[in-house]
Amino acid sequence: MTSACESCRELIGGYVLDALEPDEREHVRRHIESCDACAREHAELATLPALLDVVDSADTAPLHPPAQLEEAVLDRFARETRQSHAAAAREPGAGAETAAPAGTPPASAEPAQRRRSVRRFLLPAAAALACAVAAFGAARLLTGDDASEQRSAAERPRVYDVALSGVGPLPRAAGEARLYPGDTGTGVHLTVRGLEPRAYDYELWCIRDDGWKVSAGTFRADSSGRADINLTTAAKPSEYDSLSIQARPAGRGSDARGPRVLIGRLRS
Amino acid sequence: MKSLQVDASEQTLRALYRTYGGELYGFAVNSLGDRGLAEELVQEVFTRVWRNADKFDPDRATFRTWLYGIARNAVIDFDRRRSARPPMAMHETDADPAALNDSIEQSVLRWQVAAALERLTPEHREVVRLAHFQGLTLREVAERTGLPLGTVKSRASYALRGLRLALEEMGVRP
Repeated sequence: MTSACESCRELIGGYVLDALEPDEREHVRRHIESCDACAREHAELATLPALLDVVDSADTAPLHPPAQLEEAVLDRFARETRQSHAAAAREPGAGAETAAPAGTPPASAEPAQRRRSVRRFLLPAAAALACAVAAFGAARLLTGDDASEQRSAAERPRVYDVALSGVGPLPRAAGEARLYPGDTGTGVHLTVRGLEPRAYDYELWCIRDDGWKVSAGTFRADSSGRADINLTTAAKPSEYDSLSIQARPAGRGSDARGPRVLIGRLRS
Repeated sequence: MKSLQVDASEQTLRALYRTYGGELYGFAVNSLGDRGLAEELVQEVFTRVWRNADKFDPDRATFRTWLYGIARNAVIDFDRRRSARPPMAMHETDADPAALNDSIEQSVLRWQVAAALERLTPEHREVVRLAHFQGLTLREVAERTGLPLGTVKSRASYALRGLRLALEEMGVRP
């Protein structure tokens, strides 16, 4: 990149907003005519002022839905899905026991048949929507990026292995976590070494990149600074981006604040 | 116990809600003028998305286009249902589908631009406010804020790149 490009990159915002002095404007205009890279950058930004004009000010706050709407949408989905199960069960060839309400153990259910009847209703819809999700970049929230991955994920529950490395006050700490689906939540088998045994209690968190986090449980290190423990969390690993272990002054309870000492990404 | 298929589908729906739920709610409030009804509409739209998912064809339309086709029909249904004078309401609704279409695009775009601005840092938003909405030159912005001119210049460029990125992430192609 030439110094002319650097100066153009600095001025490009003002140029697009038509907020430069005449000599600067002329300088940018001429440079763009002769430099493809800067012309491309200009083209990427040039339509923004017209878009900005659709709002009245820079502080037009978008109206956000109440937080409970997400759960309401998913609750309604869950009710619909149960009805689909019941409808599938009433079809010829499907066992009557599949109509049992959620949570009721199927007395003499034939598992393969039950899976088939459910799959017939759910997979086309899930596959089509998964395409939509993948196409619009929301795929990181899913276990798989496309329908076939999602199908295999459904048949072979996914196990996540996460390498944890020390940060902050415990740079030499290291560990591994294995997350596996269980009947009552996500099981976490955590092994960590290099912890400070006495001064801290530790808490494992599942964290999303947007800042949302949920605790997966607390633990202490043994006298050699190691921990080898099993925890269970309601968090679904596919919805989270990373794990972190927070250290808190020992015996001070869950309100105490403390540094993150290990982190690891759930996906590469 | 829920089947794994349901679980995977629920995650799909959650992902879609997190991508489109906000703008859809903004559109619904705009169209119906009532937040309670807007919440109902969003639920209804996602239910219809789910029920009709096998009819979605990514080769024929983007997901957003398909989604707002469903949303538009749901608004018409809601308008009919709540109207005290059904024949009149039907006449009114039937008379302006184009106007409704136009308002969908406008209201969605307004929501998206506002959301993109909201995602800028306060410093970057301030430069956009002064330079674009108040029409000041960057030199005047520097005088007004007491910031070095070089800082204002680079903030203007970063602000626009940030806006573009935020809009792209919402599926708008600036």
